[in-house]
Amino acid sequence: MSPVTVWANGNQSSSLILNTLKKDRVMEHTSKKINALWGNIFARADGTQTDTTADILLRCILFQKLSRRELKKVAHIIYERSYPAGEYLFEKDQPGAAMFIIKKGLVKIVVPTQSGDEVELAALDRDSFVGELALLDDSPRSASAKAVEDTEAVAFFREDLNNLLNTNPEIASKIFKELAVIVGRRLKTTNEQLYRNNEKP
Amino acid sequence: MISDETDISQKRLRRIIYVGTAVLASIAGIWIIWRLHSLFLPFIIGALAAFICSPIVDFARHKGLPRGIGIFILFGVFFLTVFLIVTQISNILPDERDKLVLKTRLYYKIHEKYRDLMGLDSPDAKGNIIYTIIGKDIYTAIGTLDKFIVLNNDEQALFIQYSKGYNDKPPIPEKYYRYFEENLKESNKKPEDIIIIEDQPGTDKTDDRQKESMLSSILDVIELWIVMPFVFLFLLIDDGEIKRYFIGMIPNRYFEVSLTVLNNINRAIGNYLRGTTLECSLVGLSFIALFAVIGFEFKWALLIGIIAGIANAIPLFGPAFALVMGFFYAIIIEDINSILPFMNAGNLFIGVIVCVILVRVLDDAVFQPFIIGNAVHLHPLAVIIGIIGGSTLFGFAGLLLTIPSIVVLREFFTTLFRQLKAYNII
Repeated sequence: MSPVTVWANGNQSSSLILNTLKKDRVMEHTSKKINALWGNIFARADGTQTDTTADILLRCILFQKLSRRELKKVAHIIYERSYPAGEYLFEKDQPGAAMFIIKKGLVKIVVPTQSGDEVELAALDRDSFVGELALLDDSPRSASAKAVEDTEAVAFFREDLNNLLNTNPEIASKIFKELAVIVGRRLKTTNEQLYRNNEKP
Repeated sequence: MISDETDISQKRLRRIIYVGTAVLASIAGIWIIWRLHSLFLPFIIGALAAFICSPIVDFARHKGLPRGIGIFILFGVFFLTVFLIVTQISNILPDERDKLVLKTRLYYKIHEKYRDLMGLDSPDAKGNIIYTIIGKDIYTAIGTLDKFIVLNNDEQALFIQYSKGYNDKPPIPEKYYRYFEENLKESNKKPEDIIIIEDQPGTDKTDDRQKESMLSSILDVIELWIVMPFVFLFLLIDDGEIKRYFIGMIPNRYFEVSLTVLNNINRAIGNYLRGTTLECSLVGLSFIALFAVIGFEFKWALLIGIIAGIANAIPLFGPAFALVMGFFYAIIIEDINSILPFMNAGNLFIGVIVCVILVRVLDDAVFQPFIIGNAVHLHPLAVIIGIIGGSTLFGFAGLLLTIPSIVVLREFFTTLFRQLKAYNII
């Protein structure tokens, strides 16, 4: 089982994956795979100009189906946050409440080990997003997100998305649909990886 | 080395500036709050009204109505309703003449009922067994009540003036004048003993004074309550901007927990306040309907129902108010017009008791479980201590807002501690 499974299945699989992570070589190999996976799924077009919140949202796959007018409505319920290097966006096992889109800086997805170290699962930079499963429920985070540089991020709160269902159901349903696509795609990738790993002698 | 020392002194200076600013801001804040404390009640009522009404704006948005138009319509409808209710109540409320008549009738009828109950119908009667056992205790209790309803010397003089027609009001009916005379006998007085100071002809000083004082009190009320619609409107327009501003100041470590706590509290308090508003409305409507059915004059059923409904926000106060006012009505009324054939003036007070019990049962068995649920149930002792403490400290505002405040604080701390634990902060 790879760390990707942790990401896909949440807390249930975290003990299993921690055992796997003890094997350094496997971990390194898998970590690279995950980086590649994240990179592939969340690859962005380069944009260098100063962005409005709507611009940042537009480059995030979750919001790409929204019109400019709809994006402005979503931008209205977004929280802007700044994290100095070393600070956590969220920590493992805490209940998830918000998704974060990185506006500037670098964030690493890490899992604390029993020895007190941290195992890096992925590195995310500008326009990547993290913690999107918190938009579905408040189950505990399966890993921590740590700013390794001074980072600016925008946070999208689950309950604001739920409120959107009441006030602007078209917008909310588009976001939920994209979220379902992402989760489905990730599950598919995980299954393929599992299948490939099992096929190896 | 020099750089380190500079850093330390800069840090110290920064700390002094921060602390100094915080102290100054706190003093200024306390001073402003103290100076504006009279605006608290309208401010809080406006904020609560906006909070309670915000789902209606969301619903309008859901139905495709732009937010601005939704707020505008809600604002119009809300204040038109408040205006209509206030106008209706002020029309129903008794004026000076009606108050004198009501007091006279109540005093007379209470004493009449007492005599009937105790077997003291004639001057020679020695009273029945009830009189022997508890007669004196009841008389003492009536004596206490009398202090509130007996006419003082000025009121007696006014009653005599009104009995002949005064201030463009019709004369008081003969029957009530007879009650007045009977009441005077209780204090061994006669109408002739009462000194009436007539206003000088050609001058309407009393009238002018009354009008001036009324105008001044209306202006005072407007000055005080004008803030309420503005608070209502701006909080609805705000659409979470204030919340976002304060969330922006919260350290990153507490960001998610703050959002969650605020959201949970918002939901719990919103459910409680909206549920209570709906429950109070239903209780009020039930009283209006039932009292009208048993034979109350509709305007009195309406007045008692509205006030009992509002008072129901304080647990048990609504039914208690309806019971007391219903009893007073049943005591003074001499002729009723009920759609129920078996109801008459004599058994109206039984009808009042049945109505109050029925509304209590409806409230306990239907309204509360289905509307509010048990999420914000308060212990009766907490309710009583809260009401007494709140009204002692803050008067009417305390009486009205203590229970919602207790619920808000309880929900706040319960949610806060639960979430702080979930986020491993405590």
